[in-house]
Amino acid sequence: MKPDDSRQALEALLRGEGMSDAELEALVAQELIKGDEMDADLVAEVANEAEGAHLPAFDATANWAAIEKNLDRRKHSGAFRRWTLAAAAVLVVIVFATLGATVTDAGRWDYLVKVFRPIAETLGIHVRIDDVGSVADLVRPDDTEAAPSDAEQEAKSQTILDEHEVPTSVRGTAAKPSWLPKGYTFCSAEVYDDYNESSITIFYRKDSAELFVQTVVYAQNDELTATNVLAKDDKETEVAHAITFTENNGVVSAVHEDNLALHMVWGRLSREEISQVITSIQ
Amino acid sequence: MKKLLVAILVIAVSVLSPVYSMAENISIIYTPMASDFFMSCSVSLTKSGSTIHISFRTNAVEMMDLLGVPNYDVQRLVNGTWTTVANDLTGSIGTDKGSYSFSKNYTAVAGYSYRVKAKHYAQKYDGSEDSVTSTSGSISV
Repeated sequence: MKPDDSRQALEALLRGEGMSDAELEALVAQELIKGDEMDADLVAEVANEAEGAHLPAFDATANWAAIEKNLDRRKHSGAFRRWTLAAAAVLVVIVFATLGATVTDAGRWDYLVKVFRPIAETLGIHVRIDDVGSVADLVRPDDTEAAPSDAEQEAKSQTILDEHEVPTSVRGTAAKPSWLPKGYTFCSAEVYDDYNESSITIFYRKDSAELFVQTVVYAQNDELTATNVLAKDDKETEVAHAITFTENNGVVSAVHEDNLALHMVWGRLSREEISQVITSIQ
Repeated sequence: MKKLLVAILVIAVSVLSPVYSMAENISIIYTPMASDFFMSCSVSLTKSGSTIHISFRTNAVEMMDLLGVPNYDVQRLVNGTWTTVANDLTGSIGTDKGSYSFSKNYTAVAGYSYRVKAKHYAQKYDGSEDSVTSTSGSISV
């Protein structure tokens, strides 16, 4: 119903003896102004209800009071309905977005599980993931879990035979020693880079004696777990100036760890020589 | 009304957005061993989504004819027990190496902790050979 129709409906409803045209106009204008934008449909509904309720035909004040009461009730009811619809719409958007993210990336579901599981546990709702699995289980059957893939596209490995082409650093960490025991010369270097770590291993040789200088820089990742199993003879282990020296059947190694970087030097050399090599990596 | 919408949107964005954080709990574990073949062995794990990135590194005491990880197992923690869910997966071996590294990806099931057991292998030029097993730290997926 258009506003003009609403106005006519109100006028018809309120018209009665004892109310002047000016008063009638004032009441209608008051309603039109009060509501900023009069809800035409609402007014029509109220007018119909008032007529059906046989309100006193000529008592404009009572009529108006009854109409206002109904209008207020309807407005509150309408506002509540609009809020409910808006909340439901947002909820639907969230559900669909979540499901979409879950299908395309099960990690999002995992995140939701991580976020809401503690809340559920706190509330006494115990959900056993082992039992219910996850969306990842649903979209990716368990038998496809054991499908490892080569990370060759991510990993880069390169053998360098020219000493001048060997990078001097790994992710900003120095990798080449400036001092070598007498007679040792460059043979080759392996440059490696993957998702978790980058490294340079330089291989030096003097006749049949070998010397390895390795620098590993782990990726900065809060979930990284790296396990190194070091060969060593327990009796010969010694820690000096944050450098760990070990000896394993004549092979001496030195390890220096600095935050995410790891330097390792090993060969059949004396501890002093190995120490000089590793401390010359700057 | 606007406040409700803003609140709902804030919650939705916080739930749907991935979490990025700086390195806080990097864990590098050293376990000693004694060997005529191996200098050190390592297995490093990280994850992105439900993909576990596995880095293998084998350092030998000297240049080896063959060096690497021929196979490895992936284990999942179920009810407090490490259970092998992928057995004898194919690794990689290099020739004429004093150090050998490679990486693999593994698609895991969310909600579990995983670890990797790797068999490191070395063969000298005289044909003698040796192997050791290293186990990674665990990672929650």
